[in-house]
Amino acid sequence: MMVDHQDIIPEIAQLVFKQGARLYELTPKQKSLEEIYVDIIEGSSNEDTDHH
Amino acid sequence: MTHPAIETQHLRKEYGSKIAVKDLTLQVPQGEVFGFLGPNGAGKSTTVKMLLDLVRPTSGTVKLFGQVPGQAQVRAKVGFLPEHLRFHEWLRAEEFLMFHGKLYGLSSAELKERIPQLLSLVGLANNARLRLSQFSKGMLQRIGLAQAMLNHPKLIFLDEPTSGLDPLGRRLVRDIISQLKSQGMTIFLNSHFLSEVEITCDRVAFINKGQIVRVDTMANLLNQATEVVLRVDTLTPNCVKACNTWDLNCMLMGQRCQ
Repeated sequence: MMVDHQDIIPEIAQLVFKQGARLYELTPKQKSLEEIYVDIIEGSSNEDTDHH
Repeated sequence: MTHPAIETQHLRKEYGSKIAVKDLTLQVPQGEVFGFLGPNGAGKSTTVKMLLDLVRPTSGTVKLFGQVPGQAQVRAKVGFLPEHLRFHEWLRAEEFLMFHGKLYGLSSAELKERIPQLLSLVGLANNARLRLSQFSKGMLQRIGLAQAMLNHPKLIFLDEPTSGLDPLGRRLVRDIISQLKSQGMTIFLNSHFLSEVEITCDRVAFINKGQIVRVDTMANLLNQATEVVLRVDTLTPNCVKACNTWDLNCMLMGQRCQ
């Protein structure tokens, strides 16, 4: 799942605990700058195409 | 009042019918390491050339430290490592730096002190007497970096400074950038090595098709949109429902939630 901010991560752990589930893994995977770059540049290129 | 190191307003450059830079407004405060990112042909090099007064904008304004960039007193504060520096390969390393130092208007006495310091800083202290024709690509890149620092600039433009460098050479450049930053220098970095930009820069701008599409701090960029992989023994529908309050794209993959 994608979360907007890392502050949500402890809340996810709490939620799992409240639901009575056993937690085996909770791994935040931060996007690298390369991934962010691709998102931003491709996004701006697509917007440009859409406008035309 | 402290002026920004770089300030542009609605900068535009046309080459005939081709628009290289459309409408670029940017501010880089003093002391910042600023990354300028974008695909080939996005307008990065043209922008840098306008900032350095090597190319005149079609419209818009550029100021470096509150002054127009062509003035001698402004040029004296600026260093530049171009992506493709044409080296005088018949010169020895120290002669090359002496020549460029003279172009900066530095005295022989100053340069005799400065050149060994810089050669040492870029790891070429033992190659001072070697001709540039005998330098490897990485060594040339490092002597180019030394050239850009000769005049103790307050603002330095580095265009692909780690191009052609092996991992040790890249680390050396990274360490030099950190050192320059700690001395209060403003660094405008244009690089495709994004992992290094990530480590080095305080803030970055993304440019595409001649326009800035986003400017943000590295901290903001990296701190958002985190993917979370969750693995539990039992993922109840209630749990998925709750997860979906944070994210509409929560997907069940076996017992993993991604």
